Amino acid sequence: MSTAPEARPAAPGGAGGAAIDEFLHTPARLNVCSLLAPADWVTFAFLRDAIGTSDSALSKQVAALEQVGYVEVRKERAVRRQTSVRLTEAGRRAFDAYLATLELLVARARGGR
Amino acid sequence: MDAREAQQALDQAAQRRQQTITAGTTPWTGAQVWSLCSCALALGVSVDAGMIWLWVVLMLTGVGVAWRRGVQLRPTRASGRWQAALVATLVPALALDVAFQAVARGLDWPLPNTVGVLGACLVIATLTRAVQARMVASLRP
Repeated sequence: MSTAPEARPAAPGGAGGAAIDEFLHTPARLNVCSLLAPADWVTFAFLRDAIGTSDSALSKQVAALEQVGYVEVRKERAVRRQTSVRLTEAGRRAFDAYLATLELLVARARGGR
Repeated sequence: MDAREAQQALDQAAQRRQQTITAGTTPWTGAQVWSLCSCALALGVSVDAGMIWLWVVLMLTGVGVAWRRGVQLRPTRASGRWQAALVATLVPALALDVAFQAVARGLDWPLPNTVGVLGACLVIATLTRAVQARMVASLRP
């Protein structure tokens, strides 16, 4: 798997040293990965409609995720042109780790109260 | 990043995740069952009219596309069994088709193939629909 140029772990300020995946930590990529996580394949159209974004904006995010090996894109032309997307194993691991880090941050903050 | 921001991101992820699960586990609506029954009826009418090619063209161009879901959830062991059960509902549908057709032919009714598929539609609207609802429910992670 290639590594994301922006995916260098960054220490979150004052959160006890848990590292967050900055590459995934953008609303657009978080939305895409969250929608893909429970599914095997999801159509591009579903992603676009669920997020409420434009084709070009979504394409950009999907391309970035594909470039780092987090998602796989399949283009079907059997009946009509349709693009589907899914998380790769590497993407699934990265997203799970990202969520675990968020949960850790929240748990630590609650424990510190 | 503070805990509040982390919690917001988690909430957003959970909400999006639920969107996908809901889209992937929605049972057939009444309109979808009706469209499936319409396909079966169109088949009966086409056979009776000697225009089976027209049915094939209609199915290939329209129905296959319209029925495609935007989300394909990861299969589970239970969903595999329910999928097999869904395909197996073709057997009673065909059986009722044959039975209804036999009655129509015996009574010399017009359009026996159309009458036959009415039987198949009964199975689709009841048994197949119920099995499909169980199948999509079993996909829920």
